[in-house]
Amino acid sequence: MTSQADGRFGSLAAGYAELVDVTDVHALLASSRAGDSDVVVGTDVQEIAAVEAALRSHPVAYLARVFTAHEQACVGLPGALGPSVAAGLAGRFAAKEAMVKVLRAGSAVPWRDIEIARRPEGWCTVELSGPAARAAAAARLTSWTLSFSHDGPVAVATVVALRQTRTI
Amino acid sequence: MYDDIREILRVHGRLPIDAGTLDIDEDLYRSGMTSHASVNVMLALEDTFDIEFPDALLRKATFESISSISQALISLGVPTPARTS
Repeated sequence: MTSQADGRFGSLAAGYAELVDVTDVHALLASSRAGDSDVVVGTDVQEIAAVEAALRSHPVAYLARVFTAHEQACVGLPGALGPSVAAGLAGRFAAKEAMVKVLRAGSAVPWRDIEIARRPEGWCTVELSGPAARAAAAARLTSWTLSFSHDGPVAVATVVALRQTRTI
Repeated sequence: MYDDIREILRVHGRLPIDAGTLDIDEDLYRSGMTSHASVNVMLALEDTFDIEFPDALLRKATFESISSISQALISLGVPTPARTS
C-alpha cells in the first residue's frame, strides 16, 4: 500500500521526470524520508529579453564573465545569436541563481563557479567549483538535482538538494 | 565616481527607485536590482572606467551597494572618490 507521504513524494518525482534523472529525485526523497537529511529547494526566473539585450550590447564580455565555455557550447556558441541562444542562456542563468539560493551563500559565489553541465543522456546537472563548492560543503549539501525550462518571455529553474542533518 | 556609479545604476540597474536617492551603503538587491541587472551594471562599469573585472570580483557581492562597487573600482586602480552620500 502506498502511504500518503509516498504518494506525495512520487508525484514530486514524476513532476521532474521529463528534464532530470528521476532516479536522482527518488534517491533524494528516500534519503530525506530516512531522517538523515532535509530537502532544500531554490527557484529562479529570468526574463529572456534581458539576456538578449546583454548579448547585443556586450556579446563578448557578457558571455566571458557569466558563462563557462561548456555552457556557451551547449547553446550553440560560437555561432549566430538567435532566439534559442538567449533562451538557453536565460535558463542557465536562472539555474545558477536557483543554486545560489540552495547554497544559502548570499552573493559571495562567482557565476562561473556554478556550471550547468549537460550530460550525454540529455539532462543537465550543476557542477560546483571554487567558492561555490566550499559553500556547498559548508551547507552540508550532499546531492542536488536541477530542472529548467523556458516559454514565452521567461526561463525558470529549480534546484532540489539534500542537506545532511545527522552526523554519521 | 559616485555620480558615475549612480548614473550607471539609473540606466542599467532597473531599480524601481531613483538611483540618485540611494545611500552609498544601501543594499541594491534589497532595493530591487535583479541579479541579471547587476551583470549589466558590471559591463557598464567596465565601459565607463575602462577596466576589466577579474574572476575574483565576478560575483553579486561586488555589486550589492554603491560603496562595494566603489571599493572594487578602487582595487582596480580607479581613483578614490570623496566620500559623499
